[in-house]
Amino acid sequence: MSTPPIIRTGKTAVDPTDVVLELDEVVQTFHGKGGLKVHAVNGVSLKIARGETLGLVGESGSGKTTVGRAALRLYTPTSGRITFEGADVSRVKGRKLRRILRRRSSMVFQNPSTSLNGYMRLGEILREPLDVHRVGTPAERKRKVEEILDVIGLDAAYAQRYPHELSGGQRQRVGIARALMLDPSLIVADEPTASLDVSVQAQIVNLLEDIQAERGLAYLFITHDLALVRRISHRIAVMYLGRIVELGAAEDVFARPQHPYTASLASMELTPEHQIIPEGELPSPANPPPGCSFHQRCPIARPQCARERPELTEVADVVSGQPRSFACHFPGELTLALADERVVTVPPPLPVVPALAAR
Amino acid sequence: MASTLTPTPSPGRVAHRVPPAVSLEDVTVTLPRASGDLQILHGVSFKVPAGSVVALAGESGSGKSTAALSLMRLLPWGAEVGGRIMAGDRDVAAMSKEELRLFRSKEARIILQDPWSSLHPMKSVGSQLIESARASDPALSKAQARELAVETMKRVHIPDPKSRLKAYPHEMSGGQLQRVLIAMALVARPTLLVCDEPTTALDVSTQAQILELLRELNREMGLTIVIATHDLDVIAGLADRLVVMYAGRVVEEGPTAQVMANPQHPYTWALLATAPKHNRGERMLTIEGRPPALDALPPGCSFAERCEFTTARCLETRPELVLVDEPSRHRTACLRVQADQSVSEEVR
Repeated sequence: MSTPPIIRTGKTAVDPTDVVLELDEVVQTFHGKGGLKVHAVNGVSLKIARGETLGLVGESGSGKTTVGRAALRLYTPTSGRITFEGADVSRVKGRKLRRILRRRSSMVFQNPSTSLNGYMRLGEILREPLDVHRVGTPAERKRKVEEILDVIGLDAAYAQRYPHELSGGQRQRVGIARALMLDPSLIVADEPTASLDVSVQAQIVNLLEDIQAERGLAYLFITHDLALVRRISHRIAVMYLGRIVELGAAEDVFARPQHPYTASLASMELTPEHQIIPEGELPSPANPPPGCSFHQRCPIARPQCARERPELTEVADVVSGQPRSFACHFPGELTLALADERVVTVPPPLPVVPALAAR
Repeated sequence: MASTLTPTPSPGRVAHRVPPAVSLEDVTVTLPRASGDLQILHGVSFKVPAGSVVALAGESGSGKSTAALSLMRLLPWGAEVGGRIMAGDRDVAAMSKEELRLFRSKEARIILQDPWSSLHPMKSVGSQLIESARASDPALSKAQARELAVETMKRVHIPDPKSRLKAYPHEMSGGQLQRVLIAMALVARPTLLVCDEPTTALDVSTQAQILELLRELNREMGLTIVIATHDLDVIAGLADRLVVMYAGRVVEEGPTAQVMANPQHPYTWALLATAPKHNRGERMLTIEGRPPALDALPPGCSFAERCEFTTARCLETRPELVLVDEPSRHRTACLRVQADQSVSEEVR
């Protein structure tokens, strides 16, 4: 397997005014049994610029996957506005939806083994988006498939293979390749590395970063792997019970968390004695608590928290000066234990034994 | 009938309440296949001191789960086991069917990765707990078993345990279900707990809660715990010793802190360095390539093909596990480290 060429290092530069996707107060309600209303997403606003990665973190049930799916209009939002490349797509349907949004966006799924059709050869899987959107002649489509296989570091002969002949990492590369076929400007990646081994995870992350640098793609990166999201994202949004509780530059959010929930997430990287483990569980989105939705589990909650819901307010970070926002009455009160050794220590490589070093 | 709710054992079983030291001694596991036998474990040896927590780490296919499951001889049908699997002074590999049944129901219990598929979806949580308790101690009456179940649920911090007994698995969250599974293991008052990726399917904060619980059980009840995992960082704070496996063999073993701070085997180092947490470089470090297929292992070191430090010798000679640090019994299987050792010995 050849390695994709090294295109860049580090995070791409982003112009925050060049917005690809904007969600404005999006609410997504599902109807459960017996008239039960579940507010899976409850007024989420965010922007993603060209070439930017926005990491979306939160527990299962926090609504992060629903935000990703709503952004691609896999649902019709209950209320709120979704703007994609300047066009309002919150209510468009049919051909117009396909032309404006479907043609320009795509998704990478968590489990590559179940998101690829086992009866189709890789060539067919990769060609399908082109067929559906009637892009190019058959010869051009074939060439495009070969090109994309090269991008993800697979030999052109793989077009004749079936998904089961591939390893998990290779399958996820194909999942990414399929998402790239139509040259989208936005990719929603829903836990793309969760089902992979650590060593393979790194390969996938490198591939995603290379592609972003080359094509200026915007990523909405949904994950619960905090170390990973911190590494890959320009900005991070922390979700709790259908709402964004904190949003800001990746360096700021985890280094100086303002919301106690973010602080508890950030503390998971520290040694056990410094971890802030919230008690209990995520409340049900069908029956959210009054006031701040985190107050029942919050170590610094006060009576005010049970009464008034804090609004998301934007300030400039005290150190970096970059804009950040949080929804908490007592921001920054819960602080992290000073970064301990374990976080910064990278285990040293083996000392090279001179007698054996020569191959 | 002396069975009560307090963990006083009924007479005759007292000997088994002391947690056993568990060890694998040169264990091989071979699965029969149509195309020839497939050997999954190639002479795995490690010791689990009584009352300690040992983690088995490695990629998928490294044999870590098989090694953990072999402690209870929970292997696929037809698997052939070689070597000795010692629990205390008994050999699990040589147990009769009935002995094995008793061993699994009373002494060694298991927690699997996916709590959703580990419970019967159509039985209430309570009935499954009661079944588990009575399997371990048939002398328990239903009412006694129920009370034991309630106490154990309290022990694993499930709020309102009495009413939760009536709940069905689908009514509970993943973290709660994993606690129920731990409770199901604990009602048997086992001395050995085997966990196969116990937190992989859970959220970060839930993960931390479950690990905290396991730590507590180990400290307060003296349970011997063996955990198979692929995430070294997760168990760093919990495990006393770490066993790193690759392609069906142990490549490094030692006290967790020492192995993580000063890894001797290139694979251990690569595993640590590729984790996002430590991977702070401009470009993420990766381990290129894949582990070798188990039916086509190279003659030399299995990791040689992916190793940064490979020499010609690595391709021919298979390294044996050798001690690198005597007092802590830190062992590794790498020719380079061995060469380094012999050099320093000569100097001495």
